[in-house]
Amino acid sequence: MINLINIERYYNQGLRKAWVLRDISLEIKEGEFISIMGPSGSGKTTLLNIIGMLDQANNGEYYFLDEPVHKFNERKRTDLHKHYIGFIFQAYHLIDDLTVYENIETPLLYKKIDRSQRKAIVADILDRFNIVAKKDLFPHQLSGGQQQLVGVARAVVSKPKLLLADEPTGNLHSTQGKIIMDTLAELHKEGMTIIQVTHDENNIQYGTRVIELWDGFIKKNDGNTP
Amino acid sequence: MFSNYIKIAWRNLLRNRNYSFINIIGLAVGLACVMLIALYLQDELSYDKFHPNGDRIYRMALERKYPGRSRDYAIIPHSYAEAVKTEFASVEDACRLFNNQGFNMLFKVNGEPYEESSIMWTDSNFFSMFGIKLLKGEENKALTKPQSVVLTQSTAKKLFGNSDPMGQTLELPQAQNNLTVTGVCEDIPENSHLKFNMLQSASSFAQFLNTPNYLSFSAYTYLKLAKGADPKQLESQFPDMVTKYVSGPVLNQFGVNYAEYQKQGNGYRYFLQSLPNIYLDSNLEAEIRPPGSRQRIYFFTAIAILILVIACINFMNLATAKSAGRAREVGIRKTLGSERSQIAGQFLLEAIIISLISCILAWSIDALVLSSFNNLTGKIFSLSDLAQFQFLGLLILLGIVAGLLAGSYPAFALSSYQPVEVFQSKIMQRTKGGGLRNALVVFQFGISVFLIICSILVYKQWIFTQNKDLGFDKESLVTLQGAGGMTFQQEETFKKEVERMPGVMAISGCNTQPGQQYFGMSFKPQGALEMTTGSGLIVDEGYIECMKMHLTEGRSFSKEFNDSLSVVINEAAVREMDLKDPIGKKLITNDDFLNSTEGQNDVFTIVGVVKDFHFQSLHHLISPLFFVHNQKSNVPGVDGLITIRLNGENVNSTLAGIGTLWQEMQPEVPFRYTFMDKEWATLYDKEITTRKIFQIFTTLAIFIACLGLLALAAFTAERRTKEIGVRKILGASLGNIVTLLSKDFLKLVIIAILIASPLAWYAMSSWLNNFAYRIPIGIGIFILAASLALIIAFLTVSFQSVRAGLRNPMKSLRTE
Repeated sequence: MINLINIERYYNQGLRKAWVLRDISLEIKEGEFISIMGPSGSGKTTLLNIIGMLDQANNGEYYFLDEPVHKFNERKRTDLHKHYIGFIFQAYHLIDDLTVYENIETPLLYKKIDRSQRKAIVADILDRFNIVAKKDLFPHQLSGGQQQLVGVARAVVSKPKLLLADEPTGNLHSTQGKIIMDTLAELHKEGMTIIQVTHDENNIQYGTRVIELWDGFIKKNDGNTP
Repeated sequence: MFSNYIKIAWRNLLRNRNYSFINIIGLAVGLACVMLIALYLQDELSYDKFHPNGDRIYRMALERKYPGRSRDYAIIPHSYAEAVKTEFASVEDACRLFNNQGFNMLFKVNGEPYEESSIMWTDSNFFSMFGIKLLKGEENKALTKPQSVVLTQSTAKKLFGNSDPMGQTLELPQAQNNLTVTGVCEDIPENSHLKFNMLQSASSFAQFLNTPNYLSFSAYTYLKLAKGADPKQLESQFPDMVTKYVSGPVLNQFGVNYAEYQKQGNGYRYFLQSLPNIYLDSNLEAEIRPPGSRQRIYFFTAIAILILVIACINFMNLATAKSAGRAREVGIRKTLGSERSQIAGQFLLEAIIISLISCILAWSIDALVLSSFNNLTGKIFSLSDLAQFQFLGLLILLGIVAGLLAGSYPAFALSSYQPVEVFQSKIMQRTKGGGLRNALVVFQFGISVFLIICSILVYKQWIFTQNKDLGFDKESLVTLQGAGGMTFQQEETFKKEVERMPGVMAISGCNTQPGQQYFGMSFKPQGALEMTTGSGLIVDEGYIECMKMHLTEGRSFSKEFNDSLSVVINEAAVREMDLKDPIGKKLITNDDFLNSTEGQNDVFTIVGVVKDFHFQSLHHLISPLFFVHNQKSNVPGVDGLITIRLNGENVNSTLAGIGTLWQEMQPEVPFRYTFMDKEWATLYDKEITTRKIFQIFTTLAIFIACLGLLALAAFTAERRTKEIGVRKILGASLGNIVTLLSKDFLKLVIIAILIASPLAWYAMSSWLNNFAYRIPIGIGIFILAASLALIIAFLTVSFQSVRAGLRNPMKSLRTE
């Protein structure tokens, strides 16, 4: 599904290059649940953003579903991203001015799905995540765990093939975090490919493979491939 | 999608109430100004557009040249109407209009007395020339016969009610002058430079018209050119025609041939004024109505646009400033699959929603201030004008354009944010568009400073014109009109009686007064070659004393002398005639009305010199002036006016006493009086309007700019909350914090002052050139304006920075 070949990412700092990612080659198959680990500044989030097409590598090739993403322009990338990828953030990143319902509905709007279908899909998701009662509340009226649940619901509402989660439980205490991780596990069981960035050893247990980064290099890449 | 945008726009508006309020108020005030101006312009530009052949009709006007100066007249000698018709095939028709020059007609209808002041006399082809419809009567015959009169619809209604006015009689004091109504025409539209309630046949003074006259000005002369005729070409043929017709009369009157006369700097240059442009472009002597001004139109337009620009700048500045808060939303939307154009569209839509709300508010503001606006401009707009389709259409169009213009920069700036950068909160720290925002603040305050300087100068010039020593005392001076009907003896008795009244200090008779029309007089010292043409004034013995004018030499007219051949002249006349020891010098004139026998020159003696006084507004330099005594025979219009100086106490009862006396002596003539100081003030009506408009617009501009600054300061304080907290913990005082936050803004205001001052200096020096007597533009004005701007800006900013400085630092740091 994903094939990264010699990906490099750096920032120009004056005359010097500040390296973030170096020589990353990685293959991810459909249905994997990958955990990316490493100390702060090791390039985890940057790698996730490159995979999610929010950022671009300076060098290297990136094939997503055999399409050469590194050759695409922004419009085409947006298109690919919009149809196949869902995102979850540590800080939830819900839109403050929209209700729970409207937040979940937004990706469908960008996919230009018509009104009645949208309604059915959102109703379905609300039901599944058990947040029907909360649908008319605004984000600031929810607890962190509830907000992240909405974040997950919003990420998966358009049925992406790939779910990217950047420390999804980082801001939550353990019971709330467990609910989120259980939800991700369930999605994985249904066949969704998931990549998570995490610090938390407990969260690794949910995944199928661990990739450890160290100063921009892949230090360790092991686990059982299904 | 659309409804989602509207929803979020609306919620955003409500959540940021203060910012939204400032945006909407600013834009609404800007739009309200622009729309009122648009209404005004639409009206000003509509003048005389209704005449069917208006594009072919021209008024022939005159530039009368004197040595070293010249004067433009809307009226010309009446015989030129015939002359141009015979000389030029391209002139299809010519029509003259004469007005009553302040003379009021007293008449009776069925025994009821009436008075009418708005009368014109015209040729019989008036109705085929102009687009004014004759409702009753025959178009080309109504005004052929002497003593025939056409009434406007409302005059007919006033005089005859619902009965048919045709064939009815207006009775005048002498029965042979009785007028017969031969037609009724529609009322003259308000948007025309023509104005009358009654139109009489010019054939009533056939003798005057049949005597050729190419020198003295009396007739508004309109020419209808043949289709395709070139007015420029016709104009170029005028000089030859003038030489042909004027040479004889000039030789007669001034004793020199026309070529010589022109060499001396005298002459007549005729030119054409297109009918639809007369109202705006023509500001000559003796206009029928007070003219409009194209300059004022440009001025209004420019100022309205500036205000709208200031409001739009607020909009842009606030939107970009606030963009930090929206950056996260942009990032989220992009990760959820939004394209850049969709984000930009969303923000543009928000801008348009704000501007549409502003439109509604702008309309309400206009509706509220409409009557004040009417007062200011002298127009009569009503709410139905505001409800016109074009007006509403323009308002909404402008609103949307302003929304798009003001919203476009923020929209494109915001939509360019990359999610990765946003989430790493780089943008939160340093918002985009800081440079542009600063430039816009400079621009806003530049406009404000410019307007402050202009309004101070307009105000100072106004005070100057009000307080300048005019050379006579205009206070407590009352002028009675309509004394021309009294006999010489009656008038003497009247003056004696009035002079004895307790509140009266002095009384005198004259033919005109400062600020009004003066007719021309020409004199030359005996033996000199050149005639000096100046203005003439016919007065009695008491005039110079009564007006409190100052004699520099000689004496005033006096009963002790026979002064019928004496003249008193002003200093300007002494200079222009180059006289040493003027007293006793002999002057002769060719003006027929000053000579006892035609063709013979009476010899006048200078008996006094009056210190120069302003007999015209301060727009004009003081020119030569000749006082002639009212004993001089065959002088027309002697003592049409009586001027009385009151002592300022019990004015009303004194006036009532004079009125009773007047009615006893002239029961037929209504007692009418004006106060000199009030009449004099009307000469500056335009300046007063300009001054008021400047004050209003300056206040509005500063208000809107300050609203923007207030919001920007709030935003800066908010953005630097953490910094302020840290600084306070490190020991910064409130003063330090206020300085920290105000410094940057004040720097911008200073730059604005430096840019705006020279521009204002340039603009105002050209405005002041309209005045012959004007104030100097001193450095003090710039210092005053700069301090004002700085103080206003500082107060605005410190309102926010003091609040920020007082905040508990622990609180602000905890929220970070």
